[in-house]
Amino acid sequence: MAAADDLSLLQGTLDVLVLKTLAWGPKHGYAVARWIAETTDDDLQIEEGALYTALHRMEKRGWIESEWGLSDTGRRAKFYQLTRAGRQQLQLQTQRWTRYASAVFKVLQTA
Amino acid sequence: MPRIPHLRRVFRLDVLSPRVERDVDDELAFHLAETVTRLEARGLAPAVARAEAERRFGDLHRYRRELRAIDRGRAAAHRRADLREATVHDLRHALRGLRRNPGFTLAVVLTLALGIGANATMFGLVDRLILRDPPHVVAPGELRSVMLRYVFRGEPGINDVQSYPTLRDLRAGVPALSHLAGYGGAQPSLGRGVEAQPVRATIVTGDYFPLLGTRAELGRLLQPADDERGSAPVAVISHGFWQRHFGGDPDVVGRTLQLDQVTYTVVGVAPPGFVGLEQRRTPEVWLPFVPRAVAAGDTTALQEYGWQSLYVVGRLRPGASDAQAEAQSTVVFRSPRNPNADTTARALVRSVLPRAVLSAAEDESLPGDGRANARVAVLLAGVSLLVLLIACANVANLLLARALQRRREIAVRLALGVSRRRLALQLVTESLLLAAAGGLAALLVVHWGGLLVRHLLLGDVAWEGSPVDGRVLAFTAVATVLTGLLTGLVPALQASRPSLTSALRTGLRAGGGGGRHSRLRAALLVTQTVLSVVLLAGTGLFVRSLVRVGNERLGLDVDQVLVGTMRLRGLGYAPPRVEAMYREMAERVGAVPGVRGVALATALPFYSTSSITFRLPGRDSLPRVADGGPYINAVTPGYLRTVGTRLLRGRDFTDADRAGTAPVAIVNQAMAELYWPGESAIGQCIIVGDTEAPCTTVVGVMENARRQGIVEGTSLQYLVPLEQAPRFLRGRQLVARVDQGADLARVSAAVARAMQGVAADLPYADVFPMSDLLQGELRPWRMGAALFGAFGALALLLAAVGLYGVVAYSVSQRTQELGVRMALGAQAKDVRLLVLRQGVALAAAGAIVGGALALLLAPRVGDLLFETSPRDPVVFGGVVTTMLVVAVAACLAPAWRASRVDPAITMRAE
Repeated sequence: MAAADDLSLLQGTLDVLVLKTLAWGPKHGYAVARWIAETTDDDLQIEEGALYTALHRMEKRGWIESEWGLSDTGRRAKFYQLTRAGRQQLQLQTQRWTRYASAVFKVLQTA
Repeated sequence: MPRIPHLRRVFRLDVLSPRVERDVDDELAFHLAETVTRLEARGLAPAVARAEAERRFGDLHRYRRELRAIDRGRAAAHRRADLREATVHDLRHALRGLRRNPGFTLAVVLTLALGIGANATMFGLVDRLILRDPPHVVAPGELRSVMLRYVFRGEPGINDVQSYPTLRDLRAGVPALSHLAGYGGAQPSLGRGVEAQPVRATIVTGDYFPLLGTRAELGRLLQPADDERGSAPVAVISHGFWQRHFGGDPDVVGRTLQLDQVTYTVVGVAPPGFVGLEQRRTPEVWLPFVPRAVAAGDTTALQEYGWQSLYVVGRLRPGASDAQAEAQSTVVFRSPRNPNADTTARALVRSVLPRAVLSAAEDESLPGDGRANARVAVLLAGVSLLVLLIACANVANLLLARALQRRREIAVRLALGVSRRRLALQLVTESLLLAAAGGLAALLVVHWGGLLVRHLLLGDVAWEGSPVDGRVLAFTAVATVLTGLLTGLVPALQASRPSLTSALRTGLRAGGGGGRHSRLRAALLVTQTVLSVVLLAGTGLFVRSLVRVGNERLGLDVDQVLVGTMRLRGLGYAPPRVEAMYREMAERVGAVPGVRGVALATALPFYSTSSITFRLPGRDSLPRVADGGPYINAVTPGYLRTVGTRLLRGRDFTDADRAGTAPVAIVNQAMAELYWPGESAIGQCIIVGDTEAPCTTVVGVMENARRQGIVEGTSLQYLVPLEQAPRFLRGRQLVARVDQGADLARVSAAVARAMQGVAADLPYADVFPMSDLLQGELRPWRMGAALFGAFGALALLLAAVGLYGVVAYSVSQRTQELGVRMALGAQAKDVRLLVLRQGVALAAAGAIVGGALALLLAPRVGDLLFETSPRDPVVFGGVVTTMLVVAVAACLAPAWRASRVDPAITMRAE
């Protein structure tokens, strides 16, 4: 579980992860959490509540929008999907992450 | 998953907080339920699964709080965006509508521009004259002026200037006031000879600037050490004078100014806009009192209690009251040290703020000028407010008519589910938009109107800056918004609740729900007429006063007369030399092109007056008249012709009436009738001055002429030749009659040059039209007539437009009815009469109520009128007639249109 002082790092990371998750199509919060857990083999160990904070904050920013609908299990659930601004944001942050990761990787390689 | 994007936007329901909270709860509940289901499927017991789900989620309460806060913020942002969008939409809608009706738009904007503009103009004047604090004065509310009330021969009076010794005594004897200082106006001469010019100066005692707390813009201001015997003469100059006279020289401190006989060193520049405590003049220099008196050899000013020239002001000490200050000052005024002390004297201590006169407007004992100004200002503010109300009524009426025309459109939109609130908002948006356009146009009205009023009516007030300043702008903005709301609300309320079905069914035609609307419109219209009639009645009364003043025979013909004066006191000329110089001035002025006649006099009507011991041989006492006298004036031959006073009998003085020849006099008619009733005054003997003097023979009788003002009783006056004048009649004024049609300003300048050219060291000559002396007294009538006239005309115009609008609208509504009437045999004449009767009935109702109201109000301005009854029948008859004539004129066009209705067409439309 992430420590409180890692939160700012985690926040940016979470945002891009959630955006990426929604890139495949509308999902409710539970599905987002499951998708991240399964894709990362639970390596990240993200507190699920933090995922919801990220979802709502990004909705307020206009990157995603929400709609109530029915889940596969037939229950009422809140679905999120990317807006145009959200797609742009995803692209931007993906580039930034890739650059950052490759830079760190280069440094580590020289060791 | 079938979803319609933006569905919620279409059915935009307000996202209220309870809804936000429920959404968050539902969302979290779903998440936990799904997690529990998954964990149970893996074989966990329900309770364990639940605990594990909550553990994975984290602090449920904290997250719930966070999510709610985020969502509430989002909802608020949405609401704001929606409002913005709706407003933009409403504005576009309103703009489109207004563009489609340019006539309507123009009428409304003009009406509002005039209404708001008139008010803002008045506000600007009142603000400048009364409301505003004097600039650059610290805590002006604490400043008090000290005046003296006295009773003389049973008449109460006020002395607002005190002597220097009295000021000194007050400083010692009135602990309730600190920094007691005195100030007074003066107009010294800058330079000498032909180039000499007057400078507006304020003479101040040492504590004046410390009292005000003003900071210098450059250098320093005057301080107590500058105002002692032996102090070197120093001066503070105004920002404007610094720019004009010294070209804004940054090294002006230390430069010198030659004013009268004294050379002053400039020590500082006052901040721009600073005028001290004076409202009606903008001083150019401030000079210390004592060094000026010493330099002029005028030590009487420093010692004599009788030499009263200073307005006394001080700052109320913390904790002290006006009553204490008055009690302490009263003791000083009655002090035995003062040889002029008067046991009836009582001090009057009053705030120096101009607006203090507003609360004292009813205080009879205050010096006249401020009180009259305050009353006129309050009156004008009231009048302009009336005009704005008329404008509002008018615009409301026009908007209402428009809203009614759009009743069907509105009903359709209501049926489509647009909320009434939203609809009302739309109508108010439209009226606010109109008001904003009106407000902008009003600024033009304020600019030009303000300049006009300043120039025409308040020319002697020193104005600075444009009539449109920050405060006027703020006032205009507030008035605009209020007007927009006021005019928009009535139609909005009316139009947004029509009976839905009846409006849809009857469409645009008359009928459904029209009764209430037309009653409201008629009421607005009658109100408008009432207000117009009240204003017109005021106009009539003031115009009649002005006409009566104009026709009044003053015993003088001041229109083409110039007065020239020069202060020669203190220049060291011997009296014979002074006499000779004036003679030469008269000669030179007589040669100025455009001057037809010139004379010298020791006193002048409306300007100065003298009287000396006078008796008739063989009589112990003389009958008196209310306005006193007899008043003497010593003049050169031709004086009567020059000022336009008629010689009724006998002869004028000639050059042969000189010192040493037989003394002669001309008396006025009142004197002749009072002293020698039933006999001829010519040849009678009067004794002037010294009781031992020889007989002065009356050689002529002149008509009675005014002495001090237009409103005064007849006084006893007589003239003697200047060469035979008693020695102490020292004052000299020059009068010159100017050819009809000559340029008064140009001739004035030439006369001043001619006078100043007589000797190289003369100060400036003050040359002005004699009619200027009457301006102050004429102003209330002129101002009343002009402003009531302007507002009255405006109100009448607005009422006419309003009447036209109502009648024209009613004709368009009744087209069908009129068609039926004509089909049934009504003549065009009958229809015209029908329409006319409707409009005139409304106007007549307004005229009757307005006339009654004006009769009721008129006595309140009674004392501002001149020989005119506040219930003058000619004025009131004229006003009512005017109103009716205008009403008929306004109804003619709609009546004509009504009579052209084609019955066939209207019937078919059915």
